[in-house]
Amino acid sequence: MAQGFAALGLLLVLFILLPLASLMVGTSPREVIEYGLDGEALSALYIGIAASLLATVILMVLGIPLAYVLARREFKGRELVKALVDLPLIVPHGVAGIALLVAYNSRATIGSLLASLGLKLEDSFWGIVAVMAFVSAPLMVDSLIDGFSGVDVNLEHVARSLGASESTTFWRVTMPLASRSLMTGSLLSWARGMSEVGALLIVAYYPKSINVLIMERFWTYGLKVAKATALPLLIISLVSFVAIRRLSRRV
Amino acid sequence: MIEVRGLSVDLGEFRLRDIDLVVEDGEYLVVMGPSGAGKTVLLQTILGIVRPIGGRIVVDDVDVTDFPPERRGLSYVPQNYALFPHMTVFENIAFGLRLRGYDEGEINERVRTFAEIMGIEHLLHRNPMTLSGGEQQRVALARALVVDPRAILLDEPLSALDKSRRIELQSFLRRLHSELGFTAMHVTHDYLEASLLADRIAVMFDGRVLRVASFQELIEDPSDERIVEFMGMDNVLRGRAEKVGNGLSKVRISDLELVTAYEAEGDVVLVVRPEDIYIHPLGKLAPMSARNVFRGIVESVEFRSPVHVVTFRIGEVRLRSVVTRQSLEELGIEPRKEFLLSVKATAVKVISQ
Amino acid sequence: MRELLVAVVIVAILLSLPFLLMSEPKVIKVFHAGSLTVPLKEIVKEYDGNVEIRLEGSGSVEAAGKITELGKRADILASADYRLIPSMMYPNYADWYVIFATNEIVLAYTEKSKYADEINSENWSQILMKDNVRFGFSDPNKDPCGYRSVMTLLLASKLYNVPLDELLRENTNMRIEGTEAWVPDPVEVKVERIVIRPKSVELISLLEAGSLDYAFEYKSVAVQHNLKYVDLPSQIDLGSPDDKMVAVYSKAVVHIFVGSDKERKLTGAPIAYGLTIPKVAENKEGALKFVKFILTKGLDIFDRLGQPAVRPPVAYGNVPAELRDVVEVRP
Repeated sequence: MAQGFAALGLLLVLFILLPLASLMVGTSPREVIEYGLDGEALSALYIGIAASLLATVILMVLGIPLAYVLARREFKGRELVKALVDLPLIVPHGVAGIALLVAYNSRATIGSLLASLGLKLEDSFWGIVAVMAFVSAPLMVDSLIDGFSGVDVNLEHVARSLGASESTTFWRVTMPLASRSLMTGSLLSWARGMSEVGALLIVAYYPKSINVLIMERFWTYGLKVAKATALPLLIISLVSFVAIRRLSRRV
Repeated sequence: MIEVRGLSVDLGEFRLRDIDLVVEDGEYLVVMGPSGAGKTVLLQTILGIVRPIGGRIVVDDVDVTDFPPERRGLSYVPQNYALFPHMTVFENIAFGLRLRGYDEGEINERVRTFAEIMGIEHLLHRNPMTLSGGEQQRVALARALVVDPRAILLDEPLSALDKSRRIELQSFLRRLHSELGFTAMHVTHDYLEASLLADRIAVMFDGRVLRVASFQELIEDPSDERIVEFMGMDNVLRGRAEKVGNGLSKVRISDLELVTAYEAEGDVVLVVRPEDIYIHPLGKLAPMSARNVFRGIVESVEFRSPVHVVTFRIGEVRLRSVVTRQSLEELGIEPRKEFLLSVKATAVKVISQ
Repeated sequence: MRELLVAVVIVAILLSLPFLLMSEPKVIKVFHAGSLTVPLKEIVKEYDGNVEIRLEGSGSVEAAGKITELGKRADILASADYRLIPSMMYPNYADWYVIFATNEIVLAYTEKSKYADEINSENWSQILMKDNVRFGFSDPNKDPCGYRSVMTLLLASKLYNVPLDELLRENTNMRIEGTEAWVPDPVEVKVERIVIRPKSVELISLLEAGSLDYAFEYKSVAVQHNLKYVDLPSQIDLGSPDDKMVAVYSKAVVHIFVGSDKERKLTGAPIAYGLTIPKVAENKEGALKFVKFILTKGLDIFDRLGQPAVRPPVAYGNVPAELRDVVEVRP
């Protein structure tokens, strides 16, 4: 059976590898420097990375409490809330963008409040962060729910009996034991944010994040230029993933 | 000391009904009962994990009913020990001490001391998940006791162990308790375990505490059919009783008539311990104090280490007696042979009417 | 673990700080047709106006839709079909427009395309009829280039007496009668023969990848992307502003969004680019200055890139005073 598993597994790896490899093949270093590392592209990379990181951090801060409640506390409508949080996964990206725009644009109720604080949704960095947080939320929350559910509740009871308050128990027992799920959730959220395009085109085309730039160059100049623009992103993503997984294993 | 007054809990599936219980200082109280009786719920309510809907919990004269678990001073050893897998054995034991703000030196000393008492000082640096069941148990105990709790609550602490480990740890617990003198509430469904460890036993059924008594008292005077059944007592009979004066009653059970030292009238349930049924060869018996003498035919003989259980038939009624191998041979007990059986009136216990 | 987390949080906040401190720059937002991307970029480069110009390309219908349906506020709208401005944006979102450049439909291809070495302006329709040839055009419901391509096909069908209309009927869910077509929403195709994409420029990548043989494109796009192309006769390529040709072009009629409440009828007309400054524009002043530049210096750039400019640009409607000296205002 081991060989059969290895063979099937290899199939999947190849399936993923081939398209990615084809992106890299045929792009000369000169093209990469010209299109992938020019001012516009570097600025777009910065925006994409900064926004997705911030979105991930926001999801950590809000997602940990939500996931803990959903994992531990039983209440009416719990399944409904879980399903709700998962919706962004299924909603088509363009639709998600339109929905966010309608709900939070700077002329709507909440949007105008935020706008007065300097946080406009359309065509702003904060809009990008909002889009990324929206589409990545399910990934963070679902991962954390799994993590928290996997922590034996008896561990928490014992900690309480030994004198730990609810919060001490959470930070010294529950969270450390769920840390792997936080890592996975964050990685997935960051990745999902980085890959978002459809909703960004609608909500915040500007400031141009890297994917918007790649798509724009694809439409305007064609495949070759788009490939060159996308290459640095691909490499950064690959390196980051490997590095983060390495680091987390050492923990 | 733990005092539970009128405690009621409603968790839908599990209920506690109006429980009154006292665990004296230094007492080892065993809470015994079948699964579903509510033993774990009782423990968790006393700990503060479950909220009661009525009643009060008082620990060392302080009403802790509204206190969160961390303020009750009660240690907990759950059935699966719940050792913190992300900490070493040392850190596990030190957990409670760190919370109390002891300095490193004191923590070190205390942990090592307890580790030595528990016989696990060579395991302190290990990860708890690599230990055997028995070792984990000891770590859990050390962790619970090192903080000098007002009492320690153990939920089926030995159920997960194999038979020899279990016996080993039962004696260990017994010695530990006599040495350290902590107050303990120990939940189990195994009455033999209870007999070994308990100062007193609280018998629980269906969310209620039926009785609190020593093991001896329970054996000799079960007083409730459910206790009898639970403890696997043999020779439970149903019959019709009639007072005959002199403090005695006669009970008719089908073809058998037994005299009992209990005063009873009407439909009754009786129990006779196998040990209380004596076997004699047919023939004339020397005078003795047994009120009941009757004939019975051997139906079967079973070896249940270390004794032999002999099942007798008296008409439609079956009674079991126990004998040693020696008696078996000496009396020539084998199926189809008839013998005389004697039972004292005081050994015929009426347990419900 | 904790250190990693703290590091991530700090990095995230630090990276985001510039955006917090940055004030809203002065911008001019331009929603434009995909085929104007290259010339507009050039024009932006040459414009020296101390302002950030944000170009957002899409299909022309979508560009107008972003303003009229999604409530977005653009400062300039440049469409590949001037007629979309009065039909989609009058009277609430705009009340004037300027025609500044023209274009024509060609059949683009690469050396990878089947029959690439044989094809010319005479035999192209027969080659398209061949079973193993795959061609494409953009979505008529989303992109003027799409419905213009369909018009070219309808006119060609009549001109060459080749059953291109039959080809369309068999491989799409369009209804064709003579030189009139009804395009439902959404439009569906049999992808072995015909390919449709929301924007005509997306077809280019398919051409380059070799998964498409021929694509109907604007000449400017073919030129700007260095593609080979077949020059089509002026009777069908919608590129001549001559009055005689206008009559010929008007025989082709395409209805889009058939079956919905957005149904519209479009009559064949020369391809002319139009722009306007929408009523909801936030930076009208900046937009006016930039439009003036487009309509003067910008015209040379359009000429250079295969989109012959209209000199002088022709304006209709409530033209702003600032532009009246660079355009010819028609009633």
